[in-house]
Amino acid sequence: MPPPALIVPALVVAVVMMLPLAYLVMRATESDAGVMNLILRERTAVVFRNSVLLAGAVALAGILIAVPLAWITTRTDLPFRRFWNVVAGLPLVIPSYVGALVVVAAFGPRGLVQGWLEGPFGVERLPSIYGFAGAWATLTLFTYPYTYMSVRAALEGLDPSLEDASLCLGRGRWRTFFGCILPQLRPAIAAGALLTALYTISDFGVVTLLRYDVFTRAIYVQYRSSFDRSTAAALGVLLVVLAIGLVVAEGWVRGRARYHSVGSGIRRGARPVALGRWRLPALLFCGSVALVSLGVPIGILLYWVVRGLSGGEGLERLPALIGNSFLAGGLAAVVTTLAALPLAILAVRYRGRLSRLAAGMSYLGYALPAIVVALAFVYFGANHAPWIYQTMALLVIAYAVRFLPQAVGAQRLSLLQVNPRLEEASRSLGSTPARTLARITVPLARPGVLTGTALVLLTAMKDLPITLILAPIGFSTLATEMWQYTSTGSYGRAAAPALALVLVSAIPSVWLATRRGGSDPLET
Amino acid sequence: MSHFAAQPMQQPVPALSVTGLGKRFDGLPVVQDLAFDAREGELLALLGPSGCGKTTTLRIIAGLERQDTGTVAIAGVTVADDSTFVPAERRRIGMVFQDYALFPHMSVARNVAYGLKRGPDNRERVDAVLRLVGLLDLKDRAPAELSGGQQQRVALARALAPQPDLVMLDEPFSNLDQKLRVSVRREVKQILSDAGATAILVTHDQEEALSLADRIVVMNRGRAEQVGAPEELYHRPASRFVASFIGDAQFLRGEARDRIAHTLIGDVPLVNESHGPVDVLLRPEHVRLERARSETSGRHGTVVAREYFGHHQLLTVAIDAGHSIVARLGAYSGIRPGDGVWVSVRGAMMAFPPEAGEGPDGS
Repeated sequence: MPPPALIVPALVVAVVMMLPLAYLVMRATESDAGVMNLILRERTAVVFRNSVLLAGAVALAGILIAVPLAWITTRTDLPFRRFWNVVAGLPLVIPSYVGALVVVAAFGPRGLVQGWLEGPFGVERLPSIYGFAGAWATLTLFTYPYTYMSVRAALEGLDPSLEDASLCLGRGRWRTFFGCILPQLRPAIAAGALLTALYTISDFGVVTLLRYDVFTRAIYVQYRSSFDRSTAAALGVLLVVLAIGLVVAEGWVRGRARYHSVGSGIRRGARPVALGRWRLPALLFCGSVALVSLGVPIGILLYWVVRGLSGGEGLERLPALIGNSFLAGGLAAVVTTLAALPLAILAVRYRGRLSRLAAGMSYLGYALPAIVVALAFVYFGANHAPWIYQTMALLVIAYAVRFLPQAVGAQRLSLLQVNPRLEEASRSLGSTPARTLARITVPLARPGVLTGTALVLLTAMKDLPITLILAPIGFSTLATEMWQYTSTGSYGRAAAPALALVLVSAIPSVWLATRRGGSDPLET
Repeated sequence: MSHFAAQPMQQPVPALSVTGLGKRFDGLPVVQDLAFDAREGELLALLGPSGCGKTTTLRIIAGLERQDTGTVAIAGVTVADDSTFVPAERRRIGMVFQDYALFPHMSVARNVAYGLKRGPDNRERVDAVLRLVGLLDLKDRAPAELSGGQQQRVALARALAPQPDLVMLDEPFSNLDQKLRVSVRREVKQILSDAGATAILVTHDQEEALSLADRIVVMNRGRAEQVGAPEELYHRPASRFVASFIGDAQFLRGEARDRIAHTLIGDVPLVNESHGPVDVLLRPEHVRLERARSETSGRHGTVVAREYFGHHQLLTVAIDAGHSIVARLGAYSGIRPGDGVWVSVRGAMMAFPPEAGEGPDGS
């Protein structure tokens, strides 16, 4: 039985998490047309199929990029390995809708590429980037870091002696990777792929700009065109069902394995693997991923900024916007981290209904598209809690509901690697469960906790729909400012806040990467 | 035990008392009706093969698991029964884990200080305990910078620092190599007796239990087969299991009447009065061999194998009438493979009821 110090905060978080879903269901059942009529329409089936297809394809492509990338950048003698280790996680700082803008501007009709080809070659039409292919490619490029960071953290937490043992047992590098390392990475890969798939079905910017008809786009269109919240809510309920399916699949894949390493419980550093003749292909692989997901988008953004500046646009609003983005994202990161800890600990250390509920609950926020979370809280605030309506507090709570899974996921991975014997040792030395948490469990899980905090900071700063709808009046962030100019077609004006957002949200990534590299946890 | 003599009228309260302990995992009994006491200041070993429930017993005593039935009392105070459960942190038990479980993010000194209440004497206590285990010089090191034997001693120091009522060691030497094991074992015994601690040692290694413990609880399938001093277990085992688990055992089928058993090698005197078919326990060192004088003068069997260990040797004798017997002899016995021998025994032997469905066979 978990201690009350864990149960009470977990229950409070669970109640807040339930709020948007309760609103969804309430609104959906209010519909005059009847919920079932709405759900059974043929268009709903198409939307459902499209959503599943896109989520699966993006998650799979993400794994194929992320797993080799993570192994190469953590375990080998790749030249400039630390540099690539940082760079490979960086596309996460580019909001996927910025990526979509870049894609449209580069490969769309009247885009850069067609411009180059039209003159010398007379090409008037490129293959269309709209629809599945465009959305798939764009989402993959900007979401693979979820899987990458998850796998990278797991690789760093692996006991290298297991790898050595496999090699000593006569298995080659390849068979060791597939037979020994990969199975141990399974929870990390599953968690990363799950995050990616959930991100994809929740994504609003890319599918809207690249016109692929999935749930979020359908809900947005419904909301904008008719203010018919019942239809939007009914589609939202279906989306939640889809997401819950993903959560169940994740639990199944993860299995009941315990992933902390047995043995002395104290790790020694891993020796890098010599790449040999694979050095150049590995370098090319890392380079091309970085180029396509980072170099090209930033180059195109720079091009727009320069065009905007030469067209007379100023940058004087930027400092205030940066401050606002950091304020909202930072508050969200701290609140979400604290809210996530009791759920993560319950899910990892205790078995039973309560801990399963905690694990499932933590994914609930992610299962709701941001726009529905935002609408739910707007409705709740306006009707039931006017004192919190249009305040920073409500915005931060909405962020926390939405981004809790990222924090919980990262914390869970780290907690799984903390040997339970250490907690038992603490208990037998006279420490209460609460003190053991504070002095042993949390400090040892710190890398994962901080990774989760950074993830929340990054994604909250990049969030668009929640900020757009829930931010206090007159409170603009980089994201809302950019969207405002994007929706009026002023790419020159949108590029500066977009680029600032990219740079500013790169800071936590770089900090995390260098912090990890700079100090061994045992030295502190 | 001299301090008990001062109060002869009073039965001393055992440092640990376990009665009727039972625990199931997924419906399978792991510990059943287990009972034993540990006296103040003694080192008690829980000995048994892996899976016999000894570690579960340890974890129940420590408060890391909850028993299904039975009671646990420490220094006369009940800490676990049907209605009581004192949590691990209030049982004042020092645990030394198999993998040591040193906190990797803390220095040696901070590991040792972890269980101490905040106070001005903390530093002195940490130094005193580290001096006791001989690691004062390494107090600022991280656990990962220590050797296995040093980690072991830090774990012991950490467990001893809060002056627990009871110290429990879970397979504490299994992570050490053989050579280190003997010396660390000796050190640990010395440290524990210097600290005056009552200690419970869990092990599957009979040699470890025999050489370290004052008394041993032999466990099998969740039950205590026998509780006693090492000599007692070795010379008067209560069951075939104890006889085979502790020391080398071989059994010889015989027909008993009172204190004599008729066997393949003649009449063997028995310790315990028995009747009917029995299996007689023969330790190799109880077997005596005598070379047959000539090919024709009669004999029991032929020496077929010899293992030489320097200070002693093991000779295997194929008995003409059936199976084989192993004898432990001194380095210079003069008997070699191929020799015909007479077999006899030294002193009286233990007899056990024969095992069902098994022929008369030495193990």
